[in-house]
Amino acid sequence: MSEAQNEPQINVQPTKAFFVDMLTRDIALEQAVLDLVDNSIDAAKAMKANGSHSLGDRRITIEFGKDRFRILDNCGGFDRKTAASYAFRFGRPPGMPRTPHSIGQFGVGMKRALFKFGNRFSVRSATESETWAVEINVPDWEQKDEWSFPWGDFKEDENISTATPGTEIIAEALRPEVSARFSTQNFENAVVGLLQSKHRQFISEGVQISVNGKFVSASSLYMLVGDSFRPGSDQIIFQEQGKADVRVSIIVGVGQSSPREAGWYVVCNGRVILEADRRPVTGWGLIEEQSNKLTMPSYHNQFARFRGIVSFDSDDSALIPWTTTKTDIDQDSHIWQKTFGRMIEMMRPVIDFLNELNSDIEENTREESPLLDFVSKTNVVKTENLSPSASFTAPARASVVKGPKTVKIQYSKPVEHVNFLMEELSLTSAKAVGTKTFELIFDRMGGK
Amino acid sequence: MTGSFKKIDYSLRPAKHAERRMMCDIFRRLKPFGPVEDYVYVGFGSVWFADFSLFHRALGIRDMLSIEQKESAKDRIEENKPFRIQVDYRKSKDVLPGLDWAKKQFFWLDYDDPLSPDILLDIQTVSRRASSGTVLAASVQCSQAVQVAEAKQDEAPGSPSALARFVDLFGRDRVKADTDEIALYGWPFGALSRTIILSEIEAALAARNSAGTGASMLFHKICEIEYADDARMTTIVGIFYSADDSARLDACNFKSLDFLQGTSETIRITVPKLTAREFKRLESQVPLRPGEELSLGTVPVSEGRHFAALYRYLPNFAVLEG
Repeated sequence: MSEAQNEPQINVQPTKAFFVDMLTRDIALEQAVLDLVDNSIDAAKAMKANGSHSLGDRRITIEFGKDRFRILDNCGGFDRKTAASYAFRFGRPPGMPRTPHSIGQFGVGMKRALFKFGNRFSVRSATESETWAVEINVPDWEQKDEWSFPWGDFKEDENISTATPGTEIIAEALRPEVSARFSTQNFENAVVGLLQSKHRQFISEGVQISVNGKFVSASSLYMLVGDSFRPGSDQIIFQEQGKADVRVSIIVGVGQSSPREAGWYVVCNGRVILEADRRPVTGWGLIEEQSNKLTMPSYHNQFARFRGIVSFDSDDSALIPWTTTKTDIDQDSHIWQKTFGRMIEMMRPVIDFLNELNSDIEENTREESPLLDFVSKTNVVKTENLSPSASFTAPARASVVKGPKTVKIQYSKPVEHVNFLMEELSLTSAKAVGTKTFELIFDRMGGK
Repeated sequence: MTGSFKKIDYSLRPAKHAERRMMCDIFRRLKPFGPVEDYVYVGFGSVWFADFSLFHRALGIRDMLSIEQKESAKDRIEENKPFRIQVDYRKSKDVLPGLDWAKKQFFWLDYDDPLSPDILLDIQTVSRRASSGTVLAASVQCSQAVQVAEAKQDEAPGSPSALARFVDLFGRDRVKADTDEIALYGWPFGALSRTIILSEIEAALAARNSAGTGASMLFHKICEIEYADDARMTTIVGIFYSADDSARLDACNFKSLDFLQGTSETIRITVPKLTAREFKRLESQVPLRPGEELSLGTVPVSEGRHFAALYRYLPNFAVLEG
């Protein structure tokens, strides 16, 4: 018998330091800030669900800089019981009441953000009837064995009290790399940009979010809608016995040419998880397993007009196929897999149309392409305002005719010669020289 | 860098001349960081080398590197270069990483073009490596953003606006969400270009300092300059310094530079339109004593004001007629 076997049990308890380190590594700093906003949004949604509090009165104030991070909301706060039993647990314990249709559901967002930011944090919250506070020095806490936080003293002020319920979170003694980034303009711009797109639905519903004193507006996605030109859309509902429904909506269509906006958008309970995604995960460059052929092209700028939006909504956010960092899709989810199949089907005709458009431009030039002319004259509509339609509809190339059939000519000439003609003919581009000289010689030769 | 020398004789650009002299004044102030003549000057000399000549003659700078991407002009440049200036015929983004970063440098990256991601890449390269005491001046053209012309050319209705194209190219972390299209034209575009450059430096330093080893490297903005000899141009000048060297930075006392007196940080160089006789008349009265005013005679007040602000930096003109 060795000595070790005399021990009662083998110790597998994680050290706190390891836990904190592991937890904070898999999220980008910007996303950690967004996680905290998600908590406030959920509180605001709960407030709305419980009464007549409209989202329009909810404010989320975010401030960060070299020394401190602070987020303050007036979204109703959470009670002592929630704080004591659920809010600070790592992971969501079974039996915990869920906010219906929530976006912060894994029970990691707030803790991960707090540990990532710095070595000291405080949380202060008031509901209409209760108040509480917690203040933690992380290195001290790591030294202790207990996995618990002691209660702190709640001091009420004009921001948070039972009269103005809400929550305030402050992180201080920031980690050096966090402090450095919090103090840059580019980081602030990045957070604002992410909030504009990832929380666009909540902002357009009225939630006021400010970052370092400036209010954030929502950005919108647009698609082209016109006669014989409509986005495709479909709805799928997943129903399983004893579980909440998951409603999926897919919209595909054509927008303005913008490489940065092109791709798939995945929205979960109103929160944008992926934007302008162009990876195989959303179907780009998809290889058909059996024939080893590409069933869907990889992204290329000729698809800069592609827009696809897939939204998942469920009262039980655990059923929605997102990862804990809310930055990607849980590809193993059967709901995702089924939805993905439909996405690919719906994507195909749009890609075919964009390929047609590309051929038409190549053959006729941008100026003369009838199909581009048609697309350019079609109105743009905010995707939120789209009326449901069935399948993607676009004109066939042959059906759009504009002027006589043309062919493109391309040739190279010495720069000096081209410049000479440009000067002589008072033109400003080599291309204009090419066209003008053709027209001149055409006239000269008696062409009609 | 892109061959504006084909269009303009550098020596005939009076505002540029004034800017060069301001740069020389800044250079002179660097003594607390070490002997000025030990600095390396890195610029885009073109075929004129006006900045190089000035810094060599006035400050004794010997170690000088001109970056010139127009290799086709090599013969002409080699023929024209004075003072054994070293010329590297590659793009700045290829040259900069290979410099000797242990040395103190004075960079004047004087681009002919409007701000581009490539320019920001250069800014990052310098910010990641610069040693304490290194000066970075960056000049960009700011008549209008390239995307304005692109958007105009793409006449298709519904095609992205100039601003959308600009944000697309630079990314939303570089362009503030509340930026409007006006910011892509003229002096507002100059201000936007400078803000983006400054934020780029800040972000690069944040990454550099987050390693947490040794004293932080900081950037102190010395001044911003605007002028228009032909196209509108703007320059931002600042110095990298280690947190340990704060006292040296204070000792440089950049605030007391002549051209920064009585103005905000942005200096607009407006060359007064004066006759040779008027120049003489005004020059006899300066420097003014406190409370004193120029006796202008027939000189228009606005021209007199421009003269008073910048006379030390203006070129001397002589008209030679046969």
